[in-house]
Amino acid sequence: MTKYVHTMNATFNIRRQGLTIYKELQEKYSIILTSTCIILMIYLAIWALNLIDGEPVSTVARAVTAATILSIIGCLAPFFLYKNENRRMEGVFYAVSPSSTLEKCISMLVICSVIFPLLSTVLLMSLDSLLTLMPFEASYSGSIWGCMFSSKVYMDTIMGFMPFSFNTDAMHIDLVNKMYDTVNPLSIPPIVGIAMTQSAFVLLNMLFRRHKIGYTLLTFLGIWVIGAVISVISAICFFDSLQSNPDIAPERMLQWMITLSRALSLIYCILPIVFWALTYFRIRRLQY
Amino acid sequence: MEKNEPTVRIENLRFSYRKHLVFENLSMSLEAGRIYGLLGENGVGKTTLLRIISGLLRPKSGDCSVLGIRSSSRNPEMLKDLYFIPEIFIAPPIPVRRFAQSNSLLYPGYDNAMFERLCRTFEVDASSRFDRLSQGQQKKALISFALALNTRVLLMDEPSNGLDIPSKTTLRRVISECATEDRVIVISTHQVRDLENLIDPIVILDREGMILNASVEDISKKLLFTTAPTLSPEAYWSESGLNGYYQVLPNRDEADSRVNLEALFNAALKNKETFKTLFSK
Repeated sequence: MTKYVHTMNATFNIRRQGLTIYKELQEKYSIILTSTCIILMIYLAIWALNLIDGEPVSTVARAVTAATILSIIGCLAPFFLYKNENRRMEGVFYAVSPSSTLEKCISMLVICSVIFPLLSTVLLMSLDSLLTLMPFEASYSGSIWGCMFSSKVYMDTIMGFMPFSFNTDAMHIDLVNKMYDTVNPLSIPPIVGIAMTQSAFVLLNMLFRRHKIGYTLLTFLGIWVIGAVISVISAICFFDSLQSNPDIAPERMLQWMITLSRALSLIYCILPIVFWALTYFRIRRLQY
Repeated sequence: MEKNEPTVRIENLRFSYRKHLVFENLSMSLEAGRIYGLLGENGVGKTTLLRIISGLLRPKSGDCSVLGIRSSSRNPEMLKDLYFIPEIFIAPPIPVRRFAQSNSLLYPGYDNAMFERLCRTFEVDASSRFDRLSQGQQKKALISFALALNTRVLLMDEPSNGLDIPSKTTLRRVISECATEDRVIVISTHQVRDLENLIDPIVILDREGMILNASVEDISKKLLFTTAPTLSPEAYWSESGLNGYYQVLPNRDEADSRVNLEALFNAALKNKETFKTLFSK
């Protein structure tokens, strides 16, 4: 039986990694530019509609619009950037390309989750800044650059809408501040959020060979249904416990919410790592 | 890779698509400096074998190594010295030249001047978009690129399919020019006439595995390809014609004859066990 030696060089080589990214960029730059143009066109169309409407648009509303467009296109990006790589016929050139699975995976990560979101975000923000300079009555004003790279403005807005925020007694203000201080550092800027959410779409794109978007939507629908059932059950249990113990202290409630926020943040940080690891194994196990 | 080790080594290979068994205990080795012709009926696993060698498919058991590295690991050290031309492929929507430029980055032996020269020889416009070329032109462009990579292992699945007659002649010439001492070329084909005089050794596969893996010299030593007015009872295979019977006979007197691949193929399929025994010696 033949003995095999697997060297580190076979797993990762910095020069080969650079060449792999460069090779893939050469093949995919037209798709990246087309997708970015679509994002800009959508934003321009929304701006034109706002002009027709004549109502001033707040900075937060613009930031939410931009983040939504970027998120949708960002999540769809793997489907058009790496559409063929796992297909039997179309994916042969990708499979025989002399890079390791790790290098192919890193290259996918760099292009899908770094270069594409960063480029489209910077161009969209630049377009927004240009639009603020337009001399129209209902034109945009103020910069939204900070809104994409920081979550503070969203957190402030969300906290402002919370029902307990309208309560002005000292104890409630203290509770709100405590909650804000705990949750705010856990929140992540939209651009990072896009990259993290995208990891699930990257995995599903590599998992399904055909009807990728359709199967992905079905998968999310399935997860959503399961999530909804769990949420309803949890809510029923929670209200049951409230009824059996009506004198529950607000501090305890706050502690629960903080724990829940921490747990969700932790899951949100771990999941992309899990998804990328699964993508790596998927590429490795793929047969053509 | 150790000295004297074959470039491609297959040991007790077993492969199946779900319940359909393709190979059971297949063992063979391919040595450098040869152009192997992989022959077999439709569905015997010619393409599957090439895909296993190139690491696109993983054997269920047994071993397949290329340059001393297990092929299923898709190790870049192996892949940089191997290229696979599929029979059918989807050409990317980029110019041929850009395809060559980007795809060659990871192949240290790539020769761009050779690629341009081969494109001219095949009359392929390298500035055209790959997906807009005709099927034959796409194939010629890919063959030009594959040969210019100068990999030590080149696997070609039905390379003459879709090519016109002058291109088939050019293909034979170009492949024979590009064959070097340290390179192994494997050509899978069922159009044996297209590549006659080019492929040597010949590997014939059947549904139970391999019938023979022998050089043309070895085949002509053991078999006689001749036309005779009467049909010999010893003939492995025969075909009647205007001049009598064209036959494949055991070559007991070591007489000289030109190996006819089509006749060899038919004779091998008709006398599988006899040929296996004859060429295993």
